[in-house]
Amino acid sequence: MMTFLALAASWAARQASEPSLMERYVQGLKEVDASKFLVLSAIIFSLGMGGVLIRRNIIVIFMSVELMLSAANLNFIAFARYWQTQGGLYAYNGHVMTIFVIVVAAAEAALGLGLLLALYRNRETIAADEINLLKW
Amino acid sequence: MLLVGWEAVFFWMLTLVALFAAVFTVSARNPVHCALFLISTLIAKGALFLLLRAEFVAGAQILVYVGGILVLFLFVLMLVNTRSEVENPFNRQDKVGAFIAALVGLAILGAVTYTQQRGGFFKTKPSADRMAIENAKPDPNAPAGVISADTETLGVTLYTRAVLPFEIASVLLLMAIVGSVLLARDRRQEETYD
Amino acid sequence: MYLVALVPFFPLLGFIVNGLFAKRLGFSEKVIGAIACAMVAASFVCSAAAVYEFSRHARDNKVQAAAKQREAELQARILGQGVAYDAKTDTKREAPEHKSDDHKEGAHEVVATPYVVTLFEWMPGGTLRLTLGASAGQTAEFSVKWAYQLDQLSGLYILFVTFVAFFIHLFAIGYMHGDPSFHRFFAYLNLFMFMMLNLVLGANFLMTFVGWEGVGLASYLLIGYYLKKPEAGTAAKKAFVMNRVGDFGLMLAMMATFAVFGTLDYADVMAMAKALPQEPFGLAALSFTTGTLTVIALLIFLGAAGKSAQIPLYTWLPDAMAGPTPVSALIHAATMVTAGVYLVARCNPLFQRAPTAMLTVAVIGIATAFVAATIGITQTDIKKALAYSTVSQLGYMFVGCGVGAFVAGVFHVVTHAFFKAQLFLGSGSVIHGGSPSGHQQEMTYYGNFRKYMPITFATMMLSLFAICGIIPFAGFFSKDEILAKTLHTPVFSHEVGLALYALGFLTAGVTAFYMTRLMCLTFFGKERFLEGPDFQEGHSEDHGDGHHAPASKDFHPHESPLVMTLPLMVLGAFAVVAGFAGVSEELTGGAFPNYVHHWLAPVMDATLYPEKPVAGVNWTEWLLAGASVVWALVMMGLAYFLYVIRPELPEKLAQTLRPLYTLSYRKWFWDEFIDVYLVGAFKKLSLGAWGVDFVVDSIVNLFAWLARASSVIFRTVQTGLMQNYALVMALGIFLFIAGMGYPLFKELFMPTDRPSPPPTPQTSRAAQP
Repeated sequence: MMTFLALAASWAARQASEPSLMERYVQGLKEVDASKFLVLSAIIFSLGMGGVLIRRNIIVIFMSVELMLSAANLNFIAFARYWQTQGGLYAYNGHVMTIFVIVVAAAEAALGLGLLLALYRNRETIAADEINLLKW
Repeated sequence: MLLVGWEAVFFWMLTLVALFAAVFTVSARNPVHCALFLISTLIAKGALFLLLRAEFVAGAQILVYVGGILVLFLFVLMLVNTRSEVENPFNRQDKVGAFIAALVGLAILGAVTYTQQRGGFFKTKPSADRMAIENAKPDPNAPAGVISADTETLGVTLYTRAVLPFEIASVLLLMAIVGSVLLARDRRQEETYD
Repeated sequence: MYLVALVPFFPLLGFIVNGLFAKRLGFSEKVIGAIACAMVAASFVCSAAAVYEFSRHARDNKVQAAAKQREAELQARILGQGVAYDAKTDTKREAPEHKSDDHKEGAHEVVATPYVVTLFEWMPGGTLRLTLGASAGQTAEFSVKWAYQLDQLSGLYILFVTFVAFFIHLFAIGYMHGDPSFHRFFAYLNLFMFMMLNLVLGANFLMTFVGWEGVGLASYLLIGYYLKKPEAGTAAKKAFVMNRVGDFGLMLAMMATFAVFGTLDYADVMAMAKALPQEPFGLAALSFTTGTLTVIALLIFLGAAGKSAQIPLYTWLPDAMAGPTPVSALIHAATMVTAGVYLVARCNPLFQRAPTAMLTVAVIGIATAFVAATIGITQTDIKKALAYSTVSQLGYMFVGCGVGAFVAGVFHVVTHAFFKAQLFLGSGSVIHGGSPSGHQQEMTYYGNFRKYMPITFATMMLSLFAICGIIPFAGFFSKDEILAKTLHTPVFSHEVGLALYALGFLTAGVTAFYMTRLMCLTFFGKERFLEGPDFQEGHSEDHGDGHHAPASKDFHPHESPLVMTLPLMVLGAFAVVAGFAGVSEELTGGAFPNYVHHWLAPVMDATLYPEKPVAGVNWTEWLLAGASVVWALVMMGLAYFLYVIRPELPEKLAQTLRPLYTLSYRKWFWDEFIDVYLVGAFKKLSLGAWGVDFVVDSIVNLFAWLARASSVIFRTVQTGLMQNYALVMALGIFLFIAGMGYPLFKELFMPTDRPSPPPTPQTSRAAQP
């Protein structure tokens, strides 16, 4: 009981010293900081992961992977921008990293799609749940 | 504080576009639609890069992803028959998969929220030097079409500090080319040239 | 002197070039043959140069003194004494009783001065404790070097090996003409040469063992060279397995040698062995406590018997004739099979200290000589007959070694290499030209070939006289020296010597008989070559060259081309003159020097059985020699009578002496004996072992079954669907983040008494512009 009262008291004290919830939301909408980008990229990343886990079509799985990669890119750029505003020494590393990610994504897409074509030629299917040779 | 004013408005608009396009990318039945939605979300992200003063990366994103990779996807879609996947786009573990993906997303969001709650380092003010650079009036005498300072710095970084990874990336691309050429031959071609 | 290291190098080079590149670069037969021959020729030139250098080196007084000093040090070590002999002060060391008087007169004694070229350290093995013999308890450094040793014995060997091998290579160019895998054949031949030279030149037991196994491998590959002939593969396996038995003995001998002497280097082992006393005779010596050296010597002889096809391990050699004829000439007559004699001669100090082993060697040798000779009488396959002759002659060499006449044994190796290689090459020439297919080996389908192949005939006649021991051909001097030394052996009592001599004398006659029979069947008598299976309708033998139709009847045997007859002539010439290198001084009274004897004297230990000085011409020797020549001539005449003048008689004789004939024709039932008693017993034994095996296996299988049953759970997880795996991975990612984040989460939303984190709103408000 005492603990609950103490918690309630501290919550009330915090409420008093802070702006209301609504004010804070509006404030957050008007001023976009890096964490908004992080939230966005987290959502897109988990969407991509969901796509990888549930889709049957391997091409769509590839696309979901690209989605995940670009979510990571967004993070890189957001952090780079943050370090830029802070006058960070190596603020452009994020950009460089992003470029490499794009390069790797391109290479991966080319090879992956080549593999996929070979697979299709041999198995007549590109459904991920019909390819179960990995256990042998 | 990265974006205020109109930039914030654009941010929210682009965010909505990127999110919805991403949702449809993973949920559309027809893979061609998936690809088109993926293009949308990538373009929206490119625009977000522009908001974040990453002009060169934004351009590269549009050119490579949209102009290259997605076209490749569409070509492959054209080559293979995906009717059964269109009729039944999700596998047997779709509920569990979606749930776990949501859990992972929530966990990442929790991490972001925590950092935010701890005061983070995202809300600090831009440094005075940087603001001075960014708020400076453009030089009226500068010749037209000059490269932006950010792109220039990126180029210098890419060719000085990151030159070794850069070269490695070029080798990687070469391997990808060779590999995909080898993989994409059909049986008759293999017999002819081996 | 580094020429020595080049001697084995050239054949290795030839092996690499021919084996790896000949086919890929599309070398023609001429190029391949030229490479192989050139490599062996280069090897011979190097050998000759190295031996010449060595002969000057060995006479050097300083070298002699250094070798004596080293020998004294080693002998002191094995006897557990300090070094007492010093070349500078020339103080006599404390020598054991049996050694002392010899050493006093041995001031002029010439010791072996091996020239050792060490290429690299092969097996560094740390310090080990010796466990056997006089030096038990001492420690020694186990270190085996890749080293080549040139001394008088190995010098003689490399000279005749490379010389004979060159001509056999030359012959093979003609003989193997048109063979689809010509390059493989010559690559194997050069591999064999490399290994053989390693064997002979190795400076320690292990180096010899490398060559020993290597020649075994090359022999295996070459016996099984005709991949399409199933009996060739079987023969190759048989040779390999039987050699393994002997090699096992040799390996044990090496281990025991190290345990006694603390080194495997020949020079050191032999120098030390010279200081040890002779061991007792009889069964008492067959233990490591009373007869260390006897056991070592017997194990070495087991290895030698395997390699040199002595009883009980001799049956592989006749079967090995399934290989091409040049292989039979090179490996199974001239060089490899004499490796056993080489090893026994090399270890002569050990053998001389083990009279039990000496008797074993002599008895096995004479028994092999006699048994193989009797088998040779009835063989109809020309190469098999020659193979039994080889086994028989190898038996002679071992008799020589066994009675202490190591020089005579080695000398017989040399002369035998010439005339037996010549005989085999001659038989190759006959096989080559004697039938349309070029594969006919049955003498029943030969006859009167002297009309068609005069050169082959003439040169083979020279070798025939040599092997029969007709004066003055090569075989006479070597074989007769062995027989003479057997009669006067210093090792055994006179009765033993007489018995050995009698059997040897008898065998000499049998040898003359069956060799003449071979020549008569091939070169004299009725022409029977048109009766061969090549001329029959639908003969089923597949020679790999695919002609099955009966050959036309106007076939005539033909003489071989020059590339084949030249080696015949050269080797035939040596079969005539080689004997003069080792004319026994008992015969000439020292008027004509015995070169071989003088050359080999330093490596032969004379401490136990010192040489008796030659006192004039020994007429008893002449009498014995004359008797054996007459005996050989009589038997040759008998053979000629039976097979040329009255060719119907042998058949009748065989009918009359049916049991004896069968005994000989079936090779004294040795193969059957092995099949029934050894293989059969082994099979029964393995049946019992299978029972044990079953019980043990059941227990092990029970555990395996338990593991398998319990793995059902884990097995079902492996669906093979990549998205399943990805799902688990995603779950893991979630758990990882959640696990990492949980303490932080608790700290944030469930504050405890600890000071709360700095309030965030202030920061956010302060950040407002």
